[in-house]
Amino acid sequence: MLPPETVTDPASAASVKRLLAHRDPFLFVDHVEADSELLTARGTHRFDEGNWFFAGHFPGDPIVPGVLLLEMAAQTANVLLGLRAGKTVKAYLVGSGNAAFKAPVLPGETVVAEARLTRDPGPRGTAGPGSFFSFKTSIRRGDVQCMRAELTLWWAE
Amino acid sequence: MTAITREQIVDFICKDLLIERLDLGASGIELKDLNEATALSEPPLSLDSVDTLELVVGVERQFSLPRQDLTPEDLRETCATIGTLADYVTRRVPQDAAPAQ
Repeated sequence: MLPPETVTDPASAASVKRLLAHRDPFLFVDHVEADSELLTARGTHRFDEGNWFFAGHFPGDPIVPGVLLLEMAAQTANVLLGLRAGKTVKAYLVGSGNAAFKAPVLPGETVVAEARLTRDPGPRGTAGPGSFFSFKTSIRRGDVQCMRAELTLWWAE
Repeated sequence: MTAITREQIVDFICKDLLIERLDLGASGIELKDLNEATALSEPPLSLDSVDTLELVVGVERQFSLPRQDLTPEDLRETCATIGTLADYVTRRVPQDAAPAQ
């Protein structure tokens, strides 16, 4: 976890919904914490056993689809953009690279996504709709890295 | 054409692949911790097979090496250390080739 002294106000479930446009059944961030400079965010999510996709992915062998791990990392990055802007930011995932899926995430497991801002089009607060942002992301279950990828988000509105 | 030096290969493996691509910097690994003798699959790096495959694909692309099918055992031997991965490149790269841009 982030060192306690760097943690700013954690984004609770309520504030995650204030900062993100996503909603159930496609919301994969329960709460988020960020460093004091708002360059890194960590989002937590528990993949409940009753999730709709487990029935088909795969019957009798349910695991979280890799694309949803990418989505969780993208939503965590999106929350970071919202925290930086101080309002809801609706961002589209427009690029991914160097993705690796290293360990399965199973029903009922809680994982932590980390999104670190690596490309910001301008000083904090100056970027707006139409801007692109790049992130290095990963998802961990305890000490085990389950996924890593580089993502690009586009601030839509 | 400029010949690729051993130093360029090791530098690419350490800086571009291990620190940047695999993001080991986020785990506290620094460039000064890495040298040709550094074991890839043992602590502190502790890379798994997905990581080592990414290293092999990374050097193949960077140095325009012909793609080669590797068995899991080949992969383990090739990626035993930073030095053995550099050996894999030097054995297969045309000596008059320049690094890919």
